[in-house]
Amino acid sequence: MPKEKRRFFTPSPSKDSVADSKATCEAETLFVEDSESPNQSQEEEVESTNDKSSTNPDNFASFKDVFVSILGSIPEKVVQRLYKKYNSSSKCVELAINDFLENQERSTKDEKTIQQKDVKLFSRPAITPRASESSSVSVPSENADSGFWIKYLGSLHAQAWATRPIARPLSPRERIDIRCLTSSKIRPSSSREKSKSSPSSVVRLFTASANDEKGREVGRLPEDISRILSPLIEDNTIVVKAFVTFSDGRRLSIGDSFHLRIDIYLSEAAFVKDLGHIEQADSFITKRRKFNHEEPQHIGEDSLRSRQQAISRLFKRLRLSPEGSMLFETSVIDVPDENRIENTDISEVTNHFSEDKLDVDQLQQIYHINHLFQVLEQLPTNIAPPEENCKIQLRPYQKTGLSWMLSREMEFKEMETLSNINCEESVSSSQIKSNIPGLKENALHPLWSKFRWPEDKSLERPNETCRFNDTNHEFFYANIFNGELSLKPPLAKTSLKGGILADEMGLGKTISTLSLVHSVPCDVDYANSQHNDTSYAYGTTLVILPMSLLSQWENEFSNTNNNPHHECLVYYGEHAQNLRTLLTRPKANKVPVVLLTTYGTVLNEFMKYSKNFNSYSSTSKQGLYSVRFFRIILDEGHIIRNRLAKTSKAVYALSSDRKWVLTGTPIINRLDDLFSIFKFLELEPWNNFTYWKNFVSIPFEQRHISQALHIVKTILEPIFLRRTKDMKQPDGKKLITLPEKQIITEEIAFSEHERDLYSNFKNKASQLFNESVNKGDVFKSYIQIFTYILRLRQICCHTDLLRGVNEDDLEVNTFAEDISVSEDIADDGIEGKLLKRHLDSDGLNLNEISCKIVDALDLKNLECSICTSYPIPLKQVLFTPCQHAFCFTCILDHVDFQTKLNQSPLCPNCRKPISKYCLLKPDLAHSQYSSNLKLSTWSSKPRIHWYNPSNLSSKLYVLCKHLKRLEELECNENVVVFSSFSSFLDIIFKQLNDHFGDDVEVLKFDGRLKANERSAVLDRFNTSKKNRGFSVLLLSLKAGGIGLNLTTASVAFLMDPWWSPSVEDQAIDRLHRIGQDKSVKVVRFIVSDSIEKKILKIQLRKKQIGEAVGVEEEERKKRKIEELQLLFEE
Amino acid sequence: MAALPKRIIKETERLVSDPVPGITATPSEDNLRYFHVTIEGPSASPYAGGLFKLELYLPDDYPMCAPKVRFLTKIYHPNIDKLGRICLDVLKDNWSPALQIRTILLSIQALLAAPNPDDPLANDVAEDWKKDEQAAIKMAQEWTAKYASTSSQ
Repeated sequence: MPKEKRRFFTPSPSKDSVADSKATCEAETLFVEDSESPNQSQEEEVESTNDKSSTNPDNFASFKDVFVSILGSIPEKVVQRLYKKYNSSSKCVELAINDFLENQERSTKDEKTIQQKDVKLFSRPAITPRASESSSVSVPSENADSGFWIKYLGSLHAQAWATRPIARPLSPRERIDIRCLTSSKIRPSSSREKSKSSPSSVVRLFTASANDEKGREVGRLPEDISRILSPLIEDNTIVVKAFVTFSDGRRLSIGDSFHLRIDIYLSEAAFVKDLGHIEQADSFITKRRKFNHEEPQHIGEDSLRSRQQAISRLFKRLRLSPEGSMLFETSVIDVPDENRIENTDISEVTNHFSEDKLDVDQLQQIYHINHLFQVLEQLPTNIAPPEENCKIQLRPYQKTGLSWMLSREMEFKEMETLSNINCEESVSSSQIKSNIPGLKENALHPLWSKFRWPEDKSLERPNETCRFNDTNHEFFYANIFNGELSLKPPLAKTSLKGGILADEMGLGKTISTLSLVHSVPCDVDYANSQHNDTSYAYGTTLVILPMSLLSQWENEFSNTNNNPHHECLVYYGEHAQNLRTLLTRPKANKVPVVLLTTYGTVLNEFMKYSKNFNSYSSTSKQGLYSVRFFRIILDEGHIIRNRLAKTSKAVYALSSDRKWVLTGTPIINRLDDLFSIFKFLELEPWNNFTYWKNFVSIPFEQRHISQALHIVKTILEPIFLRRTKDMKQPDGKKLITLPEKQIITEEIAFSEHERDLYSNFKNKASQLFNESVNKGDVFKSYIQIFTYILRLRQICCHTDLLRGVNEDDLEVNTFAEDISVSEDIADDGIEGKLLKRHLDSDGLNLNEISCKIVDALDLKNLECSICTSYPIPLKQVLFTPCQHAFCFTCILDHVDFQTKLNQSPLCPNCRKPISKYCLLKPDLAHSQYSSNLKLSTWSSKPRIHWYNPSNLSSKLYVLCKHLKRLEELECNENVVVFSSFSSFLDIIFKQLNDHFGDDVEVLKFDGRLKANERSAVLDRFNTSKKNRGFSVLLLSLKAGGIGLNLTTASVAFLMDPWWSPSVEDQAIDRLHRIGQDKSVKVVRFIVSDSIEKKILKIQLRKKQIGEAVGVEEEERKKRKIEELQLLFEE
Repeated sequence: MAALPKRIIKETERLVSDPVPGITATPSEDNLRYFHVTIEGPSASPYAGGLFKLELYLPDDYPMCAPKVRFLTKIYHPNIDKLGRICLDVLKDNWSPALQIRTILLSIQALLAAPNPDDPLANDVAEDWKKDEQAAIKMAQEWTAKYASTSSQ
């Protein structure tokens, strides 16, 4: 029960009492009870407005004075009324003032209703329309002329109970009247007080009398039934007739129950006449309640809500279910009360924290849309973009994609022309239109369901009153979500020109989209008419991309474009002032059909110009927001999945009639990702967040999963196209054939030094973790644990990554020794220490050795006796102090091999003892040594210095061996190296440059590069064709994952594993996609007996149970702890 | 990437194109790491005139570890036992990655020319050699004629 409002006068008695209801419901009570006489008071009221003489003038005057002095001027009638009401009680003034303050508005409305009631005193249509009654009674609403019909909907059985002893027993089939009392219909209730059950509406049962009497009250219906019936009876939705079903012939006393059968009829008034307003977002849902208890903006909001609930419950009770497949899982769809401020606050908060992610299966469910292939089959498959604009051939599935996109843009004529060029049988546009089921304009609005009128099984056939033409109306339509009913099918307006192209990554969405642009580059109708609109860029398609893909699109455009007058511009915000002119009045010989820009630019412009959107200042005529585009395309549209982000808002604010979203992964984490796309696409009514939340998010959270997914699928169905690599064409062949992909996991062993460092950290981390688990506060120390995990992963890659560690970190200080050990070795100034540590022979003089080497040896023609390579590329040479030269990998392998066998390593050539730390390397930076072998002189002698083997971690060393082998084999396959740590990539870059010569070109691509630098790197990588040697591109996993096309490479190395298997797959897909003609080899490096192996386990686990986490907090926590345990177990 | 290392390929090519005099080594067709070797007995030794068959196998770690060589022809030699196993320092502890098949086979040929009974493998043969070198040499010659003659193979 809602709490009572705080008042500053004594509270009036609770509403449930009869007295109060009597007092406050004067206008609403339609049928009078026997004993009381509210009717009299009603009549009195009616009289009293005109007749003042019935009251005591003196008392009244004083009353009025007091009243007015407190509350100011008040209409006379109101005062009189209040006086009449409280006259008899002792604290009349107080009560009167209470009443007045509570019912401020009601008093004014009272008058109107009073007048209305004059006419409609007995006109409640809840009453059975008796044939003999006047037409005024039968008319439920203002359309007195439309005739009034009712149609049987179903029957309920209820057990009523008697409220008074009844003299004569009830006979079976006796008519019982159902009447409602609503006392608070006009009372502006605060949102806090309003409860779902509207307790103030009471349904009473009356015996019907043959003559036009009021009838006697006999009983009440149970609460649940009355909750359903009363709102519907009140607003004329239904007409009920009740009959006694069973009577045992006894007379009933108070509390006895008797059984009723209630026949329910839908009345004509229930159905909406005008479907126009259905399309707009329902106002009662969108209006936000203010925090203070203000008058609702729509009086009917609450009643609409209660009606919706009543209808959905009624349908459930009557077991009415929709025709066809739109069956919902839950029985009652309760639209949560927007007016409940507490509820909305809490739900906002929980939405923040509850990550209602989807799991893999649910995702698959959404993506697999049943009717897709049916639709696609209807489309012409031999379509091709016009020759004059586009010069490449499309693959078959790209052609279907193009047809589909054209159909979405309603360009049927174009489709017809383009498909008829190549094939014999002509496909007419009307044929196409009719064949595509999704395009039929009579698709049912997704929220409405079709119901079949049930057979009339009522006890009493209302023949005369039912002037209802049955034959045409076999069905009716109901929207369970907002309680509306309609006789005509409410159609979903598909006014969106555009959609979502969600082909799997690597299938060529860019090409498909460009072919669309080439097919319909501009608004032909507009072009042929008078161009009056100065802000319509009718020939430009705006494409918004992530920065790294700019050059790719530019290249694709120039590859596909055949029209010299069409060009593709890149926009960074420079010509903001001229953009409008440039686009709306293009020069004849150079039309910018494609304008490329980045998300960053859009955001910048939004920040600069958004304040001026509504004004007419000159700045509003600049930039992207100064024009309306013919078409807007978002590439990697999932970037705007957060609807609250500024970038998303910036994108929403752009304007165009045709909008497309390209993304391989439309749903990354949660269903709400889709909402943002719908908002961009302006897909009515789903672009309204409250709507979306009510019908999709909340059901999903409440575990009505199949219902939510069903709705999402229905929404997506017409606008979504997705093909995957492993789909098959109609003739059974695979969609695309790619060369094979081979993934090898290579295990690497730590060196002693690395192993020591790793073990130290590992022990500390395990200790902390076990302590936390025992204490039960894993989440408190979660960050620390995670930092340890990060360090461990870094050690696996390269110990130098620890150098960036903060001094504040506790772990560092305790291992200062270990860190300094690695630093010592790395620091070139401490070679002396090294020598003394590792050799006990007489001190070796660097200069002596250096001179001997340089003078005696022909540095350009060295042969490695271990691998017989000749000549050794100079960057790979290492010298022993006994002046013998070897490849660095050969000599290091040899030393390791000997050490493993517990033998002291000896120089292969002369058997003198050697050490890993006493090797020498030529430093070529200071000498101008040219790789051109013809040059036989040095400008200055190369320096030889000590070599530090710790520069190469075990992992990096293995990578070098692989690269050396590739160099040896001379297969000219470009290589891509992925890592999650960009600082590791920096180290790799340096070391590879140190060890590999000009034949192997190393390029680095990461987030720090600017746009032009990025495209320069990519171009160089993709276009450099060497006779010998190859290029190596270093990429970070995240940067590389975005849409890059690296099909010139066929070898990939994953330096470290990532938590999510799909991120790795995406990285590999950069190489293994359309355009790759060699088989792809992938090597993943995993350090044995380390955390990387555990990460692999987690990956496997994720693949099996899905990547999503459950909705509840507890489940998520449990999973996280399980994962941590996996990481730390032995 | 487990293809044959470049070194083995190079060595094989050189062995075939530029053989050491008196020594042949051909790789088996089934397994390129397995070689059929023949060594002519050195002229100034009891094994002169004989053609000895050996097998040579390159393990996976080659060249970090030594190749495995074994005599297939019966031979009377203090450093070669009746199974054909060879006791040669470079094949064991003195191996260096700088050595090659070629050099190994040359060392074996040199071992035939200069037996070393003080570091024996086949004990009884070494004793006989020390006791009575002439008789041992004669025995070696007989064996050569019996088992390693070009006509008997």
